[in-house]
Amino acid sequence: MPDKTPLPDLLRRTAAGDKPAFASLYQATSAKLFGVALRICGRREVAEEVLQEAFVAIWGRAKDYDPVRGSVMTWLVTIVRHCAIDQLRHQQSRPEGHSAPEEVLSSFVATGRTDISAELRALQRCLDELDPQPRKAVLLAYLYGLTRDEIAARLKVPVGTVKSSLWRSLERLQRCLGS
Amino acid sequence: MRYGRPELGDRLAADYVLGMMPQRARQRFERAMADDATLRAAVGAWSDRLKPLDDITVGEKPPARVWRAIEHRVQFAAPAPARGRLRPGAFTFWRGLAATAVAACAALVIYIVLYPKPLPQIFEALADKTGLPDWIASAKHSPSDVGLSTVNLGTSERERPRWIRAALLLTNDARSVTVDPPAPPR
Repeated sequence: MPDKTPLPDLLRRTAAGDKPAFASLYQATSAKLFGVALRICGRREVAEEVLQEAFVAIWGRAKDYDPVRGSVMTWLVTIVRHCAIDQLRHQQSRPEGHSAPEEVLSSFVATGRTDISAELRALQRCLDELDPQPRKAVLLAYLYGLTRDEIAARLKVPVGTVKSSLWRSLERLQRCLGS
Repeated sequence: MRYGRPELGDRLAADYVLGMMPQRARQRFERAMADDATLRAAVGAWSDRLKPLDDITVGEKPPARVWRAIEHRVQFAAPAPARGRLRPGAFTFWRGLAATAVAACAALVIYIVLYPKPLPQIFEALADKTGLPDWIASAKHSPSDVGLSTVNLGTSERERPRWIRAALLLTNDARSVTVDPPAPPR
């Protein structure tokens, strides 16, 4: 029976060493987090190891969570993403064949799903306002955890260009999203 | 690295959220965040802006073996050795621990070989950076020691001087100290 306890409560109890709460937290969030790990790592066995590392870190760092940083899920995703990125850099190998991220995004939105959040629609609209290359750079970084060097190689532009264009793109997103 | 200027903090927060920072820079940034609510808020804002992208990823139930491995790793009974990231040597350990604590996916059990040992600082760092009530420090006085003496690292500020003294006594002349997570609640 899935635990309906809100994530902040589960995380707080995890921070206090409550193993069953930690198990419930895992049960409630691991599918999505595994999806994120798979997206970045490409290889299944690597993603499994990343998920393991991430939850061991979550166990140790639960008390560091501060709601001002966003929702619990956001915080968990951040930990998983960083673990995945570290793992990839450590292995110095990059999974090949990431789907073009803009296509992944637009096909998701285009399926006419009714559960697309207002936030995602807003973000997609703002992303559409960027030029194609800068947009691609943002998506390659966020969705796949590519480094600036890797993005530069993939887009066939200098690293310096990626650096400045990423920040400009993020600033534009910030203005567009109006926060 | 100064995070005083708001724009710099904001840029770094964006880098952090995008995953652009190398591991060490990230760890430094996480330490800075611990003391700086503005930085935390900036990270929160960037996370909120970009996290809708995670909605497009289909979740997938991980195999049961992943949870079994996690459970195993956070149990007291069967500590795993540290990953290669933390090298032996007291000062390297000190730097590594202060920087990472249990951040960055390091294994929770840290196996170290101590030389001259700034132990009070190490245990202070453990408590401060990781908030480790009830962690157990076990000392080996020779490589073949299997009978570990242990000290419970205590739970409160008030207790801390006492357990630091106990830990010092314990680890005096120790060849290695292992720090383990608390036993699972009964």
